[in-house]
Amino acid sequence: MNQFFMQLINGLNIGSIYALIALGYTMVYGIAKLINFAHGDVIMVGAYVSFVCMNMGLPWWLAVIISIVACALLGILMEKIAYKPLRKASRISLLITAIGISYLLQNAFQLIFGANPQPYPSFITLPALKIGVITIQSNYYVTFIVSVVLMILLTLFTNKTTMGKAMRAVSEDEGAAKLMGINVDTTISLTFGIGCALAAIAGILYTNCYPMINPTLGSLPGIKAFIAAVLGGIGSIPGAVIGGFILGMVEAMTRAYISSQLTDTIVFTILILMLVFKPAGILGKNVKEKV
Amino acid sequence: MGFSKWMKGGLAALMAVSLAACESAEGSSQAASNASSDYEGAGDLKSYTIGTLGPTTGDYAVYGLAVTNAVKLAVEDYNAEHGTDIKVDVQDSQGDQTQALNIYNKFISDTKVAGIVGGTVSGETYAIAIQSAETGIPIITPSGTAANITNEGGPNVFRACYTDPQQAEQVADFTYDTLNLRKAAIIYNSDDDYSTGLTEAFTKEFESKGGTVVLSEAFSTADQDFSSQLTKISAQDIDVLFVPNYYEKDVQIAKQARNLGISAQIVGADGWDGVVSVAGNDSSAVEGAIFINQYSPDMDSVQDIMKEYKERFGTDINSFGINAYDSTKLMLEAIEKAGSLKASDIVKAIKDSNYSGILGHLSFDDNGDPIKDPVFVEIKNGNYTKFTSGN
Repeated sequence: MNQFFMQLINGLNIGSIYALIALGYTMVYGIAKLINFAHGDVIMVGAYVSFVCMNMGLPWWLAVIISIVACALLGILMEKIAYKPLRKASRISLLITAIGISYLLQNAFQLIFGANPQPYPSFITLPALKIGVITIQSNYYVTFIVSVVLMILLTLFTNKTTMGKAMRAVSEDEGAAKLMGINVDTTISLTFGIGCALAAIAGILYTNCYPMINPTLGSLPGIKAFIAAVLGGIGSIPGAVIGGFILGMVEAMTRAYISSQLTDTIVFTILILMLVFKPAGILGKNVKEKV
Repeated sequence: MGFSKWMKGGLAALMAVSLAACESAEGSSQAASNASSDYEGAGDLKSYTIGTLGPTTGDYAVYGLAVTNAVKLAVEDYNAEHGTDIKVDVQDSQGDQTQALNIYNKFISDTKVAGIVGGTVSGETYAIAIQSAETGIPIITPSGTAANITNEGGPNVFRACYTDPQQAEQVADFTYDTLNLRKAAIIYNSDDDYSTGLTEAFTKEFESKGGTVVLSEAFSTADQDFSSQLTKISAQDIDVLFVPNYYEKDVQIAKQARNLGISAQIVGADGWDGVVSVAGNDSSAVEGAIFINQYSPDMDSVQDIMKEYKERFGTDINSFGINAYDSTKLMLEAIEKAGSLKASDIVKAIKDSNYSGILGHLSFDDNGDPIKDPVFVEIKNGNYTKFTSGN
């Protein structure tokens, strides 16, 4: 039974990281209808920025703030340079551009920092939580709490604020939103900014759990989080979080009770089944394409 | 390290070469009996040339440079000691088999080298090992770990490093005999030939001695989270955890294992070399771990070469370089003993050699594989320390 609870916690931990990254994916997709494949690499950028700041002797909280701001700016810049000129182009062009940006970031960082992994100074050093015989490491529960809090804040933001309403309007119908006086460019920029700021937070939490950084650290969590977003219903904020937790659970439980070699097979089978039977995802709405 | 990468990268090419080799095998063995005794290096015993090759540019440059630089250094040292004028022909193989064959042809027809120290990676070494049947030129690879290099190469092909199965067996013996541990768990990378190869060989040897491998858990290359596998392991009663991966995984596994309360002795293979550099300011998780390697940096015998190499090339020597240095010295001594530049004479001298170098005794078995003492390295106070029993 202890084993089961420990595996549950393992699942929740990796799940909350997936959830956090999936939030960024889903934000950008919901508004810009773009699967930003460079999202995983923004995670890496976030981790590196905080790493460099701490190496320069800045306190961790300042490093976190700088990293979040830097990634938000990177997101806005990315949108302005690479995606905005293509807004009227076909989806596939955008997708390919996103993949291009992903490689650009990876290789640029490899050029600057080298390909060798470097140790990351973890700074989440709160005492571990003990429930009976089960010990929960601090970065586990911190990640969990941060991702749930951010999910709630984001939901409130998109539902209650003017800016959030503007985002939803742009998401539903860009043309109509423009006619209603919404500044579409600013709204999309802001979305990218928020999405990438989330990626920075995810990157920092991820490297705190797995304290080593290299220029490709974002690729795998990026892909897994993408699956989580699709599973939960891409475009839906609570969906991303639920998808992330389900994915983390499935991974942990497969490793624990089926086979550690079959984990990815099972994860991707679930994705395929989902796409076949409920393509919109768990919380996604089935929106008819307008012809 | 990256042995498996080479093996993987070279695999397709290897297949191509081995196909070609099948076709030419009969032809070349005939050629060997006719021609092998004829090949002779150019020059005289005071001034001849040694060939060396490796990827000195590209992804694996760090390995190729280590080998070729160490060969240069060994020859320079030898020249200084013996007043000879031996030259080195350094060629960049880019880790590519076709390129390696071109270099081999250049070696035997243009430069007419007396012997070859190389290649650096498995694929290229295999290619020239097969091709060399026609001349019987002596070849010592300091770092090609693939088993088929010496298995399929002729009697003129030697290897100075352990193969992967060999080192896993050494670790299993050491764990059972020296550490006296009986119940093992393994966590390995199922995508990786290096890791799976070590796991198989370790399991076989450890169980044949009477130990038990209680649990073997797999992960895949991109994974950073091993907590599920380790949670399973933590529920078992084990006294040793075998971690046969590269250092960037090893350090994460060790940290997560210790966090989950696994206190078993950790043992590993040469992929662990470099683990302290990525452990950060807290190396407590890898403290006490023991792995097999070519050398330990605290050994007295390697201090001079480490210093000399650093002064000459500005970078730190690694196990590839040290092996290459010893291989070269062994080759040069064998040539001196043979008293001739004839390939067949030198090969015989290498076979009979009883060389004692910086890494201690080195000689070869009938297959051309090394007979030497394994070095076990323990991480103590965050430093690599040569393991000695009783401490």
